[in-house]
Amino acid sequence: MKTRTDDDRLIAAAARINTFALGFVFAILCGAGLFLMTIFLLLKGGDSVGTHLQLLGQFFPGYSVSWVGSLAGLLYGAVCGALAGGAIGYLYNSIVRRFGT
Amino acid sequence: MSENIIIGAGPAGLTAGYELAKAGQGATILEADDLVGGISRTVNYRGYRFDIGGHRFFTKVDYIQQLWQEILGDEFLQRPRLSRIFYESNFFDYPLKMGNTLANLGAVESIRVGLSYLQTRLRPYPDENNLEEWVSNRFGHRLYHIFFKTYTEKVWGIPCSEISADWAAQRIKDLSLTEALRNALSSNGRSRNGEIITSLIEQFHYPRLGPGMMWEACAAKLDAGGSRTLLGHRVDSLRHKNGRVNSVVTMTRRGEKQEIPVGQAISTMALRELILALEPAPPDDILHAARQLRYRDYLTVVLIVEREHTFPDNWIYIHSPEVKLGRIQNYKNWSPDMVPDAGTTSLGLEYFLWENDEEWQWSDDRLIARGISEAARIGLVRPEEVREGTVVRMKKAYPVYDQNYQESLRTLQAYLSTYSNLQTIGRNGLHRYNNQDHSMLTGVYAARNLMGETKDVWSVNTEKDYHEAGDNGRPVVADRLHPARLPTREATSGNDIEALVENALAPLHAPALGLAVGLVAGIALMLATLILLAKGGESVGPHLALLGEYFWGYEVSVRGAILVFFQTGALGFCLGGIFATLRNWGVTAYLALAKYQED
Repeated sequence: MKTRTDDDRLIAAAARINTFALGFVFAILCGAGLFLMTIFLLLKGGDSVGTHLQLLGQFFPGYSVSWVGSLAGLLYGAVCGALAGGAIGYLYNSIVRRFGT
Repeated sequence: MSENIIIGAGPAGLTAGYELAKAGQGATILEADDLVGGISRTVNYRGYRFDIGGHRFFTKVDYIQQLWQEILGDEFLQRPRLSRIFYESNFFDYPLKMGNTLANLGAVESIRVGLSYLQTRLRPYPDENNLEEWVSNRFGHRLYHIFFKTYTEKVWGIPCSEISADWAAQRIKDLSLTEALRNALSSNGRSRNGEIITSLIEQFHYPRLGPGMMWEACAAKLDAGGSRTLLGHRVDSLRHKNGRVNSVVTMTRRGEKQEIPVGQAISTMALRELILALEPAPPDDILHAARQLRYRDYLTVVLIVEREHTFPDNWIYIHSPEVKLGRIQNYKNWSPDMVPDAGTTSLGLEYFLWENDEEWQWSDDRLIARGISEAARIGLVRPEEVREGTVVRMKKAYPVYDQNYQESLRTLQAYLSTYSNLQTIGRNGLHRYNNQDHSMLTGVYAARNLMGETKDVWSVNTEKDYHEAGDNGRPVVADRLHPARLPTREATSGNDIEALVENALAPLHAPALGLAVGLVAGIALMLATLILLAKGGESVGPHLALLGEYFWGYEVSVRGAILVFFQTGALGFCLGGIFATLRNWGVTAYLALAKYQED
């Protein structure tokens, strides 16, 4: 009978995602991303600053393309990123646990 | 005639006697002191009663609860628990409450605590050999510094890095920052699975006249039932031969020696003292192991204060490093009957010392003066309110869990198992930081062993009920029948590395990642659409509707939300799957390259 080698075990295994770490990374990326996008538009200036990015205010109360808004964006981005990353990690691990090897 | 001899009239010894009496067996209980109760005694100073350290009567063991009720009946009070931490001139609720903690710490410190916690979660200590590592891994390094380090080092007199993690595993148990925060939000004192968290109990039972009342009642019942409790009889030696203790020699305060024959012996003596009292002396390695065990001593300065109300807590932990005071008890808040005059208050200022510390030898007057000065310094009393004071010293109040104790304990446990008629129980008898209920349970077990049962007294306080929740099958710190050194890096490195390699190089499950990304993306866009719909207005979501350029049939409507959920879900599934596949190819290529280089 063929014995199960370490290589076989490795191939058969499915990696787990560290939910906390993924949520943290997404939080940083989304928070910093929205913060920098807002700042970038503010620095560019112009007659009408960030008319389209401003629309995120529909979803994030208090958000606007302004210096204060950039901080709100940082917070909102981080929270949403953490939730998305955490959810992806959690779902992935649950599916692997249920159906994976 | 040989008889059952119990050494020590504390909770463990008296419970053993009580259990024997229930089975119709008598015993002689030898107590070195003039009071029963051991560390659970109640001292009476001019009508002011005080407890040695504060003893809540709370247990998860039904049988112990039953014993308490049986012995004391209606004299039990149900008391609210209030205890706080004093640090940097602020009172922090204990258990920690989020709002109160954040308000006291301030915004900047709170953020630092949060970041420190995240940092520890991302990069925890790989091994939890000492208290610092154990606590930091659960609460973050900064919170550890504020709420654990100073106080713990006051209590134990040694750096947290030298205290075994067992201490935290046994005393803090079931509690992590997540659980503490959860408790702060729900305040029901239960963990996720509904278990009661030991450290968070908000009510407890307490005898009307202090814990000593329980043990005085127990001793009285024993005497009435034919057993006898000999106070002021310090055990000088235990004479043994061929693996049996044949007699104990006691010494009274007046220097009178008495040899009492032994049928069966149950000892609650400190393990170190028990071994040193054996005659003839055990082998050198056993004596050496016994001498390695250390005990922390305790001293309380009781102040009688001419004020009706001082503070509402049962006790306050003093974390402030500027005073040596470790904890303050307000006995009146444990039971109103602890003071004879309701217009006054008695406060117990607790100091944790080594017996050979200089302060241990200080005169009572000097200790009282220092106590008044420190209590005034932290703003709890004014010196002129203090009518008088007294001092009680308690040796060997706490067995010390240093880095060496486990090995010594194993040696002594193995040695003592060679005696056929000697059992050792209780906090100091097992060198385990048991609560009163656990000590009592060891007494119950020892007595039942004399009736033919085979109970392992060393297994008490290691039950699953009292354990920390483990994760992913990792060994749980308290999950052992006997105190054992935690696995060291060397001992586990093989498995650790294997697990690390497996997790780092194992392929990502592409369909699983696809499904996860698809679900999250689909739900996100569906929610965005529904939010705009719910907000309404003249023109609903004209910009989000532009997604219709990419997603078939999409518009800001309920139908559009459903359509975009499926389409985004499918897109997310593909992207997640592709990402996982590419990553797996990358790993395969890396492994092939590594193998090629090795060849």
